[in-house]
Amino acid sequence: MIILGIETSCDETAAAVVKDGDILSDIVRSQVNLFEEYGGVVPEISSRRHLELIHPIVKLSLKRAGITLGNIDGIAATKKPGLIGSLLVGYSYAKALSYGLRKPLVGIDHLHAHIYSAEIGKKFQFPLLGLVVSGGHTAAFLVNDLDFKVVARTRDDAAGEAFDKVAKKLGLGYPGGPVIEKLADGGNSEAFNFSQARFKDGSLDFSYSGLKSQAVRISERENFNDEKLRDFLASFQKAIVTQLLNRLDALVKIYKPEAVSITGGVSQNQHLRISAEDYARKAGLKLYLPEKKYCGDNAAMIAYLGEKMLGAGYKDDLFSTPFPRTMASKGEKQFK
Amino acid sequence: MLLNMKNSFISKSEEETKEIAEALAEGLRGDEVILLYGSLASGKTVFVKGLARGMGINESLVSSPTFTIMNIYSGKGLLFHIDLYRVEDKKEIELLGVEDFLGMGIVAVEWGEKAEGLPWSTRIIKVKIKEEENGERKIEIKRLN
Repeated sequence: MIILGIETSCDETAAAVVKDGDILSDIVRSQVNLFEEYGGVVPEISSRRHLELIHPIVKLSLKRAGITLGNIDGIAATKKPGLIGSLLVGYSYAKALSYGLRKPLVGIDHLHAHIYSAEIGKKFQFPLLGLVVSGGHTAAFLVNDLDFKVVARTRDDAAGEAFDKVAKKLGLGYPGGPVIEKLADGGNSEAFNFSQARFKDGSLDFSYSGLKSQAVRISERENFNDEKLRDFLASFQKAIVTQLLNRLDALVKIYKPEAVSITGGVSQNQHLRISAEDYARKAGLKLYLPEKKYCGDNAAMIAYLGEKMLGAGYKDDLFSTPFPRTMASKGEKQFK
Repeated sequence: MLLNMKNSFISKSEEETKEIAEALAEGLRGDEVILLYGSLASGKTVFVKGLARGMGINESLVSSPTFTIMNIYSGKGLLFHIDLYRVEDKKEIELLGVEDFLGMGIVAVEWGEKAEGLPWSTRIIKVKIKEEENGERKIEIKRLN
């Protein structure tokens, strides 16, 4: 099948074409110079920006894949979670295409797609415990084929958000994860002590606001020279990675998966990748990490999971609507 | 707890901050905008968790919307949780379409200073959270209009 994937849940406007599991094209707004491709000025405003960019990005993804709209067998678009106005742009565009082309549409959970970004070019073993770690999300899922069960999530900040906010506080630049990783290189990760959150109810949910607060306090107290800053950032990075892997290990002991995956923007972090490989080897688990180009938000993962879901008979009708969060609580309108 | 035109509280813990927010939520009409002020890690999201609790929403579902900018929760009415940390331009805030949600529920806005002066025609409550030297939080609640 040839599937067009569309992603507009947050900042990125993205479109991709997948055929039988192979990525034919993968266009992410921040990685292409639309001024060169199409001319004109790109507005820097969330939903409005998606609206201006969605059509040229989709056209470019088709062109790069060497196909036309007539070749498409189905459409996959991010349906949740995200900024509702942004989701609506991509999802409504996808609904219109679906109606116009008389081709099926499937709405995709952005986090489920992140998990499957680690399968591109590989084959998952199940059950799989999938961590998604990014600027906007930190959650763990127990995955069996296309069945996803949330088993832990952040109660406050996402891991990437903690990186970003501490980097901004220290005036180090954006995005915080890569900046901190670079500056922490060679630092002594034992120099500063961070205490990890524990919940009274014994929950294995993630929590990064405590680490963020501790980092802010330390940075206000200390007078950093280059060496001390390096040690501080190395310690902070280690604290973030340690929580991820400790929670992963605790969840592995409960759910006993065959394999684990770590995906999302933070999975680019080399310290996390190396620590995860080390952990998986010792625990005798298969580990899946996405290629770096699929770590951040992209539409290749949307199209990739969309192809599987359409193949398994999942479909959304034209009355379906996006939802801002990944889970609805009792009594709320449920995701279909 | 009586919330008059202006009220000032001292919170010694996250739980106390939540209790203050919960009490505020219980006295709301259901269509107010709550602008939250406070530096990084002062407890703005914690305050919103308390509002959620007061509105019958599972507070553990409430996480920081810094990246996605807005989350929507429903309990006894809707809670729109907005975070303007990443938004620099007032025009961008206008284009978020927040006006579409005014009147539909409680709108809680972190980094409220960025939304000041926007023509939001509804009751506005300012909540200022200040961290004291000893780690306690001074929380000031002020109703405008």
